[in-house]
Amino acid sequence: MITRESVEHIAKLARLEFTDADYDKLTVEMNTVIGYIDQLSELTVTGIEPLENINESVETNILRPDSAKESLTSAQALSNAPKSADGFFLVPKVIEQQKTTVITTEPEDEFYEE
Amino acid sequence: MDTAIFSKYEPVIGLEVHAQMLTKSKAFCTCSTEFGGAPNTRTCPICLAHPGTLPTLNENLLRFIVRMGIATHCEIRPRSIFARKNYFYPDLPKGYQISQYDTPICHNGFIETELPDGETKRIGITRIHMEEDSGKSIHDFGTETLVDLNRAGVPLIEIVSEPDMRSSDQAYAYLTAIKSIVTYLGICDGNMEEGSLRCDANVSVRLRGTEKFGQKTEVKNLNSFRNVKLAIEAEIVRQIAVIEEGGVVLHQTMAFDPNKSLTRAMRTKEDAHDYRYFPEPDLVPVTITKEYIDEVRAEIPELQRDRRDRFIRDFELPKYDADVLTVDKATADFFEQAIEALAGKSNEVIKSISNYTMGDVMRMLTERKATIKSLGLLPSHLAELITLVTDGTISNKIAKDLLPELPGNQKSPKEIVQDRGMIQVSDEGALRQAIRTILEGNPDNIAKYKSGKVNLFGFFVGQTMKAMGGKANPTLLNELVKEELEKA
Repeated sequence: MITRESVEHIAKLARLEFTDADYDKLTVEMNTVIGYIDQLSELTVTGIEPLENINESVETNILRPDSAKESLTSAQALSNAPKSADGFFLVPKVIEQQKTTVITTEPEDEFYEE
Repeated sequence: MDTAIFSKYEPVIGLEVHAQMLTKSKAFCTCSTEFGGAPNTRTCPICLAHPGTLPTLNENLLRFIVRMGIATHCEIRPRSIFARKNYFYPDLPKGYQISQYDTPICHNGFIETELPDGETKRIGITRIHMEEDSGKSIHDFGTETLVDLNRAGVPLIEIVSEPDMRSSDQAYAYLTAIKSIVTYLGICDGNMEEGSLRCDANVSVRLRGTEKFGQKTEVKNLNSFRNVKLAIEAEIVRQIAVIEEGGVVLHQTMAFDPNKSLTRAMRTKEDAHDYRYFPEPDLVPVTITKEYIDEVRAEIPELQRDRRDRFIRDFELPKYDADVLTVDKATADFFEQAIEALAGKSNEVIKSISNYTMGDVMRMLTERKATIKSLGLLPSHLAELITLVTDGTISNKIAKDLLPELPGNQKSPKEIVQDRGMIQVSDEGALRQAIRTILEGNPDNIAKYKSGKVNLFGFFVGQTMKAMGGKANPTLLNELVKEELEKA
């Protein structure tokens, strides 16, 4: 069962925002989708290993020799960027964009992310 | 706080170490891993996460982590898979980091560490897995964040220890051992200041004698060996103070402020740990055969502790010398090559090479900001220089003066000594002649010496040595000055 709270949580992880009406609609729709997929749980899968990769039968490693080749120029790398300067991608200031929670009462001056 | 309070508690510490692999190219694409370079000049459609591109595993990343696994007595999984760790951040172009989750390629190992008191302690290794680095964000400029993706996709291994350490000294010893192993294996340059080795510490405290672990915190921002030790100490003190004041240690991420020697809680996203790992569909599982492990095992050199013990045994060096000489593999190689180049290998000469390497050579490295490789001193030249001293051709003093000229010099020490007429004078007649000249010029000092000012002896020796341009054989000179003074 997908609750409205879990839809809000997933939306947040995906950095999406919806109107109240949309959240309600999505909750119903996601329950329909999950319900459909849930039919799979009726199957007996005892003794079947999970398929982790579609090419699982490949028994030799697919490896690349460790040699460096030419990279793109910085102009090429930045050519699809909405904004750039001095060879850098420019993005909205991270500290202002993220919704953050202060866990302690200690004053802080820096933002960290994993 | 009273120190008696501290002894009531026992700290429990585990370390997570990220080591950047010394591969030429990135983990999953052919971009160079070379440090530096103008921003965004080491990227390609794969590490920029352009649609339709696919990663391919770098064979050396696999080889290097297996080396590490063998060196740390880990079990190597015959089959492991990559996983996607999902989170959004501007320096992570794909929106996920390729990592490993429940099948780390190496697990269940250990390393032996050596504590300051000479005791050894075994620290368990929980797991070692492969992953890729993110790019670099710079927040300090203006109203926007700058992103450089040169580092995105650079191969890392993460080494997670068991919570086996009980003091900051033990954590320091563990980290030192890790650095030594990765540098000896040639898989990482071990430089914490430049970020090739990064460390987070999990710290908790519990009442001594109790079994249950206290609530742990994760301490980040540890960019030097010294800071790891200081940060752990600061965090232990903070946790004990919290408990003693009746509070509860919270599950937090702490940052160390080296200026104030304090740890403080960092702001974290509330759902920072919802990474929704799932198997990476773009990479096939990694299969490790017994043959492959044997092949990699053959590449593993003698590690620091074994080498040090051999230096003590074979060269009869003091433990101190053997430790200093083997901290860095390149220095140990240099020392052994110098020994090999020696014509006569007496313990005395070997000790002398050890002294020169630990003293004058290492001083040159500091002064010239060089490594033993970049310095350009040939081990055979050092061996020849020492041989010239031991066979009496030149004095120790001349040798020390000559050494700084040797790096990069085309001429051998022997040739330089001959060209400049630096050969030590052991001719008795010539020495006596010089001593007599000095004595004749200093009748006052002779009188004082005779009346009991015996420390003037050094004055006469020094003056004669100076007059002979430092080339007099010092042992012989001492004897002869004594004789001449008695006659005077």
